[in-house]
Amino acid sequence: MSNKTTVTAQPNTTTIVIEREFDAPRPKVFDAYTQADKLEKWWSPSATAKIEIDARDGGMWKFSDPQDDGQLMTFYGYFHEVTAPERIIQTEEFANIDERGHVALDKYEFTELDGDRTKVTLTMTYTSIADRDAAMDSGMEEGVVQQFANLDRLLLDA
Amino acid sequence: MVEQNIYIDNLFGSLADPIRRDILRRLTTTTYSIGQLAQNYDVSFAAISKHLKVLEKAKLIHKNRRGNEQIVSISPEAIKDAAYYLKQYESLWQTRHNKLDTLLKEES
Repeated sequence: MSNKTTVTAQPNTTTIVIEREFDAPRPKVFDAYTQADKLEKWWSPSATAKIEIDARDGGMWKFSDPQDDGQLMTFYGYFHEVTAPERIIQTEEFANIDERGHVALDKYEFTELDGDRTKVTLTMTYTSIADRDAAMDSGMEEGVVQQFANLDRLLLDA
Repeated sequence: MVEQNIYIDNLFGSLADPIRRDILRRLTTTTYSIGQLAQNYDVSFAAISKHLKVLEKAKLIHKNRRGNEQIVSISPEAIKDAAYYLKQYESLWQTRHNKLDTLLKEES
């Protein structure tokens, strides 16, 4: 039985809050969020995704993944604050749209829980309600794709 | 996908207003005539009628004529779609986090 991920996105707001508990101590969870080799193992549903990350104040991060149509899909941003192992504040922008400026601010909070467990709260704040909804739309599509991938795996195992 | 986006835009837009949210909340338990609904709010009948038009356009409610009255009821499909939409987004993160669980377990 895995821990449950909760998503809170009130209509007509610019934020999405994602909460999750992990059965691991805080420094270890923090490392999994800030080291490229670890992130590549869990962040992306795609095996071809590349992650560059310089997790320190002012550092940059970049996530890119070549698509079937030859286009390189890229998300990137800068770290405003990296305070190990408790907090990360960073910007995030999708590079594959013509108009720049649709930047989100992501805040990760790592909270220690009893029994060497950790809670991660991610608050994503967009500059408009439309941007927030667009981010959820694309996430929804990815979620559906993942579900089918999981289903395929399940059917192969059966 | 384009049509779905328009639908979702309508859905979020229709829920933006506190009166529209309150109307939907009331309609989850019973049906109302437009007049009955309007009595609950400190705004004009015309204003309520306008809110209902927005909700109807977003397919969240439908209206049926009963005699001289229009009866308003909630559309179950619309509410289900809103929940489904959030659930798909949640599943992206759930899958991601389950993979992280595996990684954290491997390392210990």
